[in-house]
Amino acid sequence: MEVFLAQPRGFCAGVVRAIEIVERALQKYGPPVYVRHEIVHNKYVVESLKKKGAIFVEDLSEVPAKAVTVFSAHGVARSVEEEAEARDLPVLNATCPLVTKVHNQGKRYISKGRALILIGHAGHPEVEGTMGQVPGPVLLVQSVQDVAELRLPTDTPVAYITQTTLSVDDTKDIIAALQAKFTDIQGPDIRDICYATQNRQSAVRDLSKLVDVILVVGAANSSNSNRLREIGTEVGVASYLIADGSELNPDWLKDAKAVGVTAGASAPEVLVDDVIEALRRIGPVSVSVVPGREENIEFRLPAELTAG
Amino acid sequence: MAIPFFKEMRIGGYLIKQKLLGRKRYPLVLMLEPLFRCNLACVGCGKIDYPDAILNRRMTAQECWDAADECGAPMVAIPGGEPLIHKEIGEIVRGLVARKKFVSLCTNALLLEKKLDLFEPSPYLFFSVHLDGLKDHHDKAVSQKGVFDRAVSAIKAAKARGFTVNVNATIFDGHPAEEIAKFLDFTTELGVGVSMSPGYAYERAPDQEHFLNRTKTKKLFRDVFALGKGKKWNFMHSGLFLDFLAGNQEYECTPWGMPARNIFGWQKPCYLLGEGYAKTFKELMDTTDWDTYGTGKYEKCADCMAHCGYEPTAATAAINNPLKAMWVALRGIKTTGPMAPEIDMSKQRPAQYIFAEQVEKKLSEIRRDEAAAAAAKQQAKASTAA
Ligand code: SF4
Ligand code: SF4
Ligand code: SF4
Repeated sequence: MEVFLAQPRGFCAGVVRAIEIVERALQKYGPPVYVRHEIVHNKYVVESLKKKGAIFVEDLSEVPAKAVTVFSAHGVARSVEEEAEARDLPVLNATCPLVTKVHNQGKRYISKGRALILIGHAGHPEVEGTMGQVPGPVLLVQSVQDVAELRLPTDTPVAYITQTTLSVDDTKDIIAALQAKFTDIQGPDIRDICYATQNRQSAVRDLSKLVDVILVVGAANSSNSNRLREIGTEVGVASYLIADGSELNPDWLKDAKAVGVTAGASAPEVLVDDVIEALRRIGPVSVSVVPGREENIEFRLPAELTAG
Repeated sequence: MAIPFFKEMRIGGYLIKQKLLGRKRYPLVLMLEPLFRCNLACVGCGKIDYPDAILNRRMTAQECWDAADECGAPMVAIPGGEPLIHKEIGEIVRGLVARKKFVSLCTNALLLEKKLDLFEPSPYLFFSVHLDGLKDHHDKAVSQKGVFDRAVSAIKAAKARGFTVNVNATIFDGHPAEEIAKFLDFTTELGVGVSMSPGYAYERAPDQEHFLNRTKTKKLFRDVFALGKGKKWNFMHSGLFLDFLAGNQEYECTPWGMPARNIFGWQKPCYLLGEGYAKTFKELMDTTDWDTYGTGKYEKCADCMAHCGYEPTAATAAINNPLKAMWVALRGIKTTGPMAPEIDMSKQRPAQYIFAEQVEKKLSEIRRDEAAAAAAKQQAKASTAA
């Protein structure tokens, strides 16, 4: 069986930075370090950080006084920041700079008196963080259908921002629908979809031309991993989201000559290796990487972790 | 993206002439941004966040030369975007040098080695290579691995060919003074001059966490200068500007000292801050409400200690008070003791956000131009067919 690996796949700069923040915090301050929400949406990553002394919580009330606290890559609402300030918790913020950028964009639009529309998935921590960062009402739209149902006069000055990990195509359609509906609208075309998401999505498209089945390595709650699987399916290739090799179902591969493997931005390469191992247990495989865009983006760490 | 200079340049004569002519506001350096496109995407950059239609725009060589003639500053710095992406950059620089302008070409150096043939060494031409620190630090600052090594290799190649090369470093929070000092030692070994500027807090930069405020900036520079005692770091700054960075001078910015011209026109009020555009340099000087900008006057200026706002102030101060300048040069920069009082921030006016509107306006202009061009083409086709 031929196995093709998408390029790029797996970790993005925001995820690398977030994990490094937890690791460095553990080194610098010693365990335990409290992390609000899964630092990135991947169980393997979370488990390995737990072993090193990170404690994951969903609510700041679970963090004891004075304990070093990390906010996850997805960002948090202003109210969470305020709670941490009020409790005087030493906070390291691992919010991806590209997510912060969306927050700032939203704040600027609100300050101009525009009605703000967020294109994103309800309940995703990035969406909750963004809605809680901008001081004003935010209308969430998840689909073209939602746009049709927006009850705002068409001449309302509106602006939109987007969750960073959405599907580029879906987002384009929603933006087009918004632009058709409102006469005074501003927004950043699709540039708020982050580079890593865009690159992984186009790599999956390239991959789909070569293979009969696509395996996306990623967690079920990882937004960008889910988008990758959807894109595979949309272009007509059977696509499955799996956390690691143990979830591989041999039935999927019955008629497959070539299998494509990719990974969401929060999935480490060891899990890709694990999936390839699982494929090897089914039969002999030859692995090659599909040529694609090379990524070498790196983000700075918070000042507290670099100085001294 | 900062610009080196002043030190060796014959700017003193120009300044004195302006003083004699009794001019209140005059430019020192034209900041010419012939394009916004860049081959990097640094997280601290607030310059490249435009839609493609705008990133694809370029100023023509003629527009660049006209801008230099119009403004009359003795020096032209060409930041960007990345100027080496501009296809006519060789020609643009040649034309400026022919006008006897000191040209500082600010580049991230990714393309420098490949493009050296476009230029000829000249006492009027400087390459100013963006280096934010030593390897690890720089690569993180520009959000890409391997850039430091390529830049250093390009610097060496350019020097070997007889070009003058400086480096410019933007300083962000989290850069320890010891590391900055090591970086400065490294530039001495490389044999290049350095300019440094605390990063201006661009509202469009993805990374908002690492911009220094004024107090932190002054403290950091004091620590750096203290580590530099007895060393021969070659700063491309006036002594008074360095003294200002160390908190020993209370200066107001001189935004008109480095006017910026880009594809939108003449940027109001300064290189760092885009709050509208003027069609001509004269219009920029006459219609900008200069008194409403600067630290203490406008929220967006609160943390600014950048080179392009304050080096012109320092240069003017040196002309007005040569003794003080000499004193700083002799005694060195004070790194202990009380600092000059900070400007009062209590009366600054709130920030206005007009970026999106400007972009929209430019986009609709571009769409209109394109539609007109397409219509003209259609018509030409029709008339040849007839
Ligand atoms: S997927 Fe994009 S936005 Fe999310 S952490 Fe990675 S780089 Fe940042
Ligand atoms: S090299 Fe300069 S223009 Fe290019 S992204 Fe970096 S800071 Fe911006
Ligand atoms: S302080 Fe002066 S130089 Fe700095 S941004 Fe404001 S106007 Fe520009």
